[in-house]
Amino acid sequence: MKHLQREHARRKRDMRREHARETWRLFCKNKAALFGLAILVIFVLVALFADLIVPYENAIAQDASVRLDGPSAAHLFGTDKYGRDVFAQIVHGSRRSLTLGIGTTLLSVVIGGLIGALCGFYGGKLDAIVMRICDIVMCIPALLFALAVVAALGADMINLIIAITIISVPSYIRVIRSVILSIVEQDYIYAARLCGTSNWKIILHHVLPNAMGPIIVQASMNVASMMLTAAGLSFIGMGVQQPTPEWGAMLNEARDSMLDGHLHLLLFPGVAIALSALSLNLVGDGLRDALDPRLKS
Amino acid sequence: MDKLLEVKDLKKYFPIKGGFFGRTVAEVKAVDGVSFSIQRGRVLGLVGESGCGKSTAGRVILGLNPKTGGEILFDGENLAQVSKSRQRELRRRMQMVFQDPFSSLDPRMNVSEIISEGIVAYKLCDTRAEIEDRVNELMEKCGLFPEQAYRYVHQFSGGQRQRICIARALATNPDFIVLDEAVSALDVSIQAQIINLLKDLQESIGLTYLFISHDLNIVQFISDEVAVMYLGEIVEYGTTEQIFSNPRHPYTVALLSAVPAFTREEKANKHRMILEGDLPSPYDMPKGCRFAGRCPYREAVCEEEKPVWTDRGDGHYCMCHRPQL
Repeated sequence: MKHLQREHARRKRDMRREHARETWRLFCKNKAALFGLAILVIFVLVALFADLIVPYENAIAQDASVRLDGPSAAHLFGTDKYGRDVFAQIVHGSRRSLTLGIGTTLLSVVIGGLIGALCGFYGGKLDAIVMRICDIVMCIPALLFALAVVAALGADMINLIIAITIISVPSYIRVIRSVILSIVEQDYIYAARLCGTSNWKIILHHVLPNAMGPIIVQASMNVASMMLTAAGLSFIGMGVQQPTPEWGAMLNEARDSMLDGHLHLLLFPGVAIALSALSLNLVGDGLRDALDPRLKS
Repeated sequence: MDKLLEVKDLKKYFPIKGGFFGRTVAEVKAVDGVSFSIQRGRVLGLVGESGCGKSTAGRVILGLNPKTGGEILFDGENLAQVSKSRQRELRRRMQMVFQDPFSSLDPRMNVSEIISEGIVAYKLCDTRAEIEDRVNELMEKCGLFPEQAYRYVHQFSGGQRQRICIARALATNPDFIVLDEAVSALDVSIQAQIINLLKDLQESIGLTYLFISHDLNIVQFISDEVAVMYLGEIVEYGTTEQIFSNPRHPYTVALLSAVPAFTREEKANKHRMILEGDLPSPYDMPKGCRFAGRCPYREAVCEEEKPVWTDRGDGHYCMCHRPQL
């Protein structure tokens, strides 16, 4: 008997391991997702070891002699109108930009996901009230609302994250609620009720895992727009303060110089934002497919 | 014999919301005053055409949809009047197998997780090893291989999925199972296997079934008693023998005449009764007999007065104005 139990436990462990390996194998089969993961890993490593790559001083030190230089050996990505090294700004800006983009997205997904799940699952008065609040928040122009929040709380990184999260949560609530409305009518939810499973367990074990696909897609699409909203706030002086480097702020600043033909100022932060958004999109897609047991052989 | 389930005057109305403030402008009377009882260890077949409220009745009995009115007594206890914990205990003993074996199993769970869900939620086993043993036992009982316990449901065929559904329903040690069109989604050879499995389980465990179906052949095979439902009401009730050999209600006659005949003898004796007209609008029911609009034996009284539920002898009940038929 003991032996049988041990045997069974072993088989179960093997199944789990097999499951993880299978997920990873499916993810690897998706070349685009693997490419996205590679870029994401590079970006994260750059953000983590920014100081080792290029000293922070290079990103803020102004040098009038090299204003608006194009890419060269001394300044890999050229310099901006104050003579600051763009490469150093990109490298050090990745910390803030990635934190803003990914941090706000994660926060919005968790908050929006929980509220959306409760609304979709319970419906009724709670749902009606939350939906009207969402309508109101979505009526106010996003940037203006974030501006008001930052103005009230004070301009710094944390408040910026809070402000951007508040304006993006309503759209998450709506998307997730609509997904969940279609799931709660499925027979397996009724079957779980008959099994005596409590409501919150049904939400956690049945509803949310099945809503994961659309949530991941929505989240990975939103990262870039989060970064840009943060950039917009930085531009009007309500976000990351100059001279702290941040991709969105760099992009906004580049607009003045763009007309004079200094396209490198626009190009590098633009590519950095686009690449990070793209990589998250690809990883999101790959994850969604790899996590779906229906697609496994 | 004692009554395991007794349903008295069960009603389920679905409101139709309309207007600016979402007021209820009308009601669909899906189940309108249904009463029946099932003896312990027996099978009641509930038949009727699509949309007559038979599935709704099953769901309301199990508490998946709240009832509008009436009483449900399980093992002599009124489900609406007992304490929360007692109700939970009674609900444990009532389970269901759904029609669609694809949408009734969570695609994100493996078989072991699905079957053990009720065991875990009702704390029927103490240790993980006990749960696993129980899951294996249930799988074997339902004709599945325990080696497949960690597979996901999409790897199974329709018949196997329905076996998983049955194993899940059995997991909480129920006395009573609602089989809501449990075999309609399967093809005929698989239907036979599942029906035999259900019959074996019923005999070996002593289960009581409410067998909801529109397939009269299967109902005749598995049921001890049959109730015929039309537009939210039971129009005829009797033993399987009474209903199939001596139907009293014109609707039952029409239903039975729609069963395909296979042998030459059957075909020669077959008299098809084809109903004319359509179902009345569910939110504007006729005041007389609900079947009057389609009944070939309609008389003046049928349109005016609602027929009463009368015993036509030996517990064979019928709701029709015409005494002979």
